[in-house]
Amino acid sequence: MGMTDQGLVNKILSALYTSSTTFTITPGTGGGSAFTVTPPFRLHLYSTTGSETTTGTENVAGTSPGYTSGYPSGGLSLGSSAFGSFTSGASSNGTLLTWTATGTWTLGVAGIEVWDSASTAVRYLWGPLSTAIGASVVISGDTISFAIGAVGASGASW
Amino acid sequence: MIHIACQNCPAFDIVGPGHPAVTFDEKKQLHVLTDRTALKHSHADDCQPDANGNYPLAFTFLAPVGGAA
Repeated sequence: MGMTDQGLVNKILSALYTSSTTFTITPGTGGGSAFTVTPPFRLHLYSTTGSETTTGTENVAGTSPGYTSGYPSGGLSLGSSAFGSFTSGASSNGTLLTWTATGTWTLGVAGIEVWDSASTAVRYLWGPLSTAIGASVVISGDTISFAIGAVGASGASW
Repeated sequence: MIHIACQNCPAFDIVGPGHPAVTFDEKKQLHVLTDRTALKHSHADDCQPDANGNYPLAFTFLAPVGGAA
């Protein structure tokens, strides 16, 4: 069997990441538990990048002053529609996100993850930064931002 | 790619693979080693550092980051 039709990938990922309202996907008999998608999605920062199966080590206020950690309220909201509609299996964020450091970030930032806002938040996306920020590079008054379009998601290889 | 800009003057740099201000860690990931005075488009003559001698910088990620959906 070949790859998933890209038109279907676009539809599924657009449904997931552009929605501003909570919705539930209910599998058929034997298909497992219902799955609820709870926007808004939030971008979190990690000093150690996660993996396909395990979350990373999230930055915390103690070592990254100005950053708020934890789920579901930590990180920053990616907006009511986290990503634009997917084309060619890919899309990116539509909101500028900025943290302002209030002290030295003694742990760097190596990766990011996207979680939803469910009371028991669900991790959706993870990945390393193309260029990490090292330990103690960020000091009080610095800002760390993700420009519109900087956070990409791709299902092109499905 | 990270756009690094001074918050007090127009100085900036765009840092990514191949830039002398970055290095690879043991996981082959690039890291920024920022000399705050060494931006490619240098600080203005009248740009004033803070009380600790530092220039406040804005780090902005530009290029797509993150993983596959």
